[in-house]
Amino acid sequence: MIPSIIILKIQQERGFRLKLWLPVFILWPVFLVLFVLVLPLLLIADLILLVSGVRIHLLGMLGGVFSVVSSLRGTRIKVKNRKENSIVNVTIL
Amino acid sequence: MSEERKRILKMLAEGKISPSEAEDLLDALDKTGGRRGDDDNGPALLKLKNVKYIYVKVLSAQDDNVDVRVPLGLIRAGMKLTTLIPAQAMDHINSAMREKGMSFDLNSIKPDDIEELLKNLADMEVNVKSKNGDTVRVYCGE
Repeated sequence: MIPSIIILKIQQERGFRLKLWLPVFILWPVFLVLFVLVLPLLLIADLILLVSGVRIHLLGMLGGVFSVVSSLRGTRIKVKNRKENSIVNVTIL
Repeated sequence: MSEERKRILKMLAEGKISPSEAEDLLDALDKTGGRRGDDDNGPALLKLKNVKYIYVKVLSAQDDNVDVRVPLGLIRAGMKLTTLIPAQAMDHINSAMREKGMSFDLNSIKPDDIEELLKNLADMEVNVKSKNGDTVRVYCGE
């Protein structure tokens, strides 16, 4: 499952408090359109690289990057700083 | 016979480990709950199936804490991504790692090895405690 929302929480013991829901799912259709547009170029580049003997598979790499991004779902990072009295929490859903 | 037991016996048959090492590994397996003769639905494997994340927790004495949860799938995807790295670049990486004292060939990692590594991560737990009271804990869980 691809990440759909990134939740960013920043809170200080006294006062400042921020909670942001970043709707990443909005970006996926945009990326899909971009991917469709770039796909022919990638295929041509892959073909050129194959003919010239360079073993770089651009399309495969793009797939690999996509699988890394997809598996980010569930990641959570929480950092507490006593000096600043703040907690930063990033969750990828 | 459990998967772990089969793997140990296979390594013994292939000559990768000596009979005494195999005995040690089987004993260690017995101690961790994988009794000889357990089937594949034993408690040890059940535990492995539930593992989804790696947790890294740093608790400092000054109360500066870091808590990170990383999905195991991310490690799997990252490791698979390394198989797409061109051979020339991989040679550079390997030589750079060798210079830093890590004689480790990334080319030798196969998809089966990744799965085996991830399965066995379930039993991993690292606990470090420094003199000033800082603790680092790395473990796998649900």
